[in-house]
Amino acid sequence: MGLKLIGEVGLDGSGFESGLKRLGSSVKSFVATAFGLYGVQAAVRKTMDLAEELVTTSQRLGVGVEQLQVLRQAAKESSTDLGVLTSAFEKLDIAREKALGGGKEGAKLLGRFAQLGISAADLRSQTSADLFMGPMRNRANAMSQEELGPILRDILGRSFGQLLPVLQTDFEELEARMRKLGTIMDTDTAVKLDILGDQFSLLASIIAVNLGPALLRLAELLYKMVSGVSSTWAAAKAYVKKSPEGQIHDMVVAHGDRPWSKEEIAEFDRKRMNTGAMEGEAVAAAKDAGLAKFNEWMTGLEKIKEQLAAAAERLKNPVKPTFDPETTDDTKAKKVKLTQDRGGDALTRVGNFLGSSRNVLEEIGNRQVGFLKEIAYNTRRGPASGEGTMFPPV
Amino acid sequence: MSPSYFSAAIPEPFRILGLSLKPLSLGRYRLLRRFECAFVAEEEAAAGVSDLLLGGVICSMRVDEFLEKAGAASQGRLQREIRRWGRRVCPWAWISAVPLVGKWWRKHHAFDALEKMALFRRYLDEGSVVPKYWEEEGGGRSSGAHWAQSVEVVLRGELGWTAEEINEAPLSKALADYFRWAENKGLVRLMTAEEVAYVEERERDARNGEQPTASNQHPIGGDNGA
Repeated sequence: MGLKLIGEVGLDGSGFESGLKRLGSSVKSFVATAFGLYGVQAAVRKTMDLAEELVTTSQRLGVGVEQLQVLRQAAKESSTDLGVLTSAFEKLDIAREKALGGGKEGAKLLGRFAQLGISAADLRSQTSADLFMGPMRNRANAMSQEELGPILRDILGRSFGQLLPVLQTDFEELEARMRKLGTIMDTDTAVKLDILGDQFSLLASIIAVNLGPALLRLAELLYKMVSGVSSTWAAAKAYVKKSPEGQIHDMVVAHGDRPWSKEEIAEFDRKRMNTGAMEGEAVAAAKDAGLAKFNEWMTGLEKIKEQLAAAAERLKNPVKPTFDPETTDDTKAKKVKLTQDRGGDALTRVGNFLGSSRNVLEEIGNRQVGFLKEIAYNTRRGPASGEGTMFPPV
Repeated sequence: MSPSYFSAAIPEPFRILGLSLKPLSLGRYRLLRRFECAFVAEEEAAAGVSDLLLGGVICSMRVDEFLEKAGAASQGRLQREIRRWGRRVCPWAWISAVPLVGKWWRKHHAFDALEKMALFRRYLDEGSVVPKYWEEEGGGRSSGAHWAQSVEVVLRGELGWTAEEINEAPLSKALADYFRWAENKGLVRLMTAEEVAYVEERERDARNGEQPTASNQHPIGGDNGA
């Protein structure tokens, strides 16, 4: 039994060893390549797109990233567009501002908020999402739709009807379910992915800046080549048409089934006799012209290839500084050269920009994380008279 | 018998990226480790989309089927199958790289890598549930062998599992059987439902930073509840 066990366990470890070796260096990359690298890239980019959207929307609405995902899922489950929800939050903020601003309209709105169990203090201290997911949701479950409708219409506008099913969602239960399924992206991840997306865009811009001119030249050359082929084709067609051979062809076609006259036969013979000599000269001239054109294209292509190779080589290490020796004693020229050297050549400057902007992006990212977490976990905006209060006290 | 045993024996089926995953088994776990899928790495590792795809392919096949297809003779067949799967999941994926239309395409046709990776993580977590137990005196000896090997040796040597069961039977069931055997040997004692509830409550409290109160004292008393 022991021997059998050892034998079989050993086989499990080595049975696929030879297959694996033949399979290539990595099964993982084999699977990814077979699946399609565009598909893999699309999946990663979609996650970045989602992160960017989450970060942007949460900043715009003043809702935490995680809270926003719960709201989005609630909207999805109620077949409500997220746009309706975001617009409702904006209207809620307007209504809040009016309510806290005083006046006749303000008093009316304050009354409406009070009917939903929201006090002036709540209006000053809670975000739209907190109000929506807290007191408004509680009251929506306790009131009839007939009672609730007019109140919500005054606060959220005419689209309130679409929001009623969202308001009836059990947000705590939904959040717990989403967390269990692992479908909530945390704030740090969202912001980091957003930054990564920015860096990718930056990198794409840098590559475009460096390879762009060479690619443009390639495009120009390709255009020239296509135009050349097109004009050669047109010339060939014209040659066939106007050459003695072409003329004979035209004569035969024009003649059709009609019997040939003596003059016509004589003319036909004359043209036929001339064909060989004229054709030989024309072909030789066309050959020379074509060869010259081809050589011109090939030289252009070689130059572009060199340019692309140089640009690609420099892109490998864009932050590598250049230390050219001084070749002049002229102080002014030296000063100009030193100023240029400080940033290196164009590629170095771009590289340095990438490096410095990466730091800046990271710093911005850290600030964003802090800010969004503050929104999510500490939405209190301080006492009515305190510093940083968003709305004036009533 | 606790209800968790039954869910361990017949786990919830998972479907990721259009693939119906077979239950995580010891055999599939070994394949994942062997081909360096970062989801099962024991040290800190960063899992990417390629790990997800590899995990999906391995866990959607029988162990012997994967080994056969991954072998050189039928490697082309596996490649064709994966390519077909890729086209089904992300049709015309190159459009995602086209400016302007790319973003629209990604929104409607691409999958969210992070969401699918979380789902695969959940598949692994739910497929490798270790029964909660108290360690009995003398049961705490450590071994240099990998746990997967120890479990397999016990299951095959002591409990008569076949190679087919090792490869295909759910890992959570394998672990449940292994710990039941260990309990019979007096090495551990499996927790009762009441004890499990107590431990889970303590874990929740620890996560929330709360101190134990009179209401959440160990139901059977003693030190082994700590």
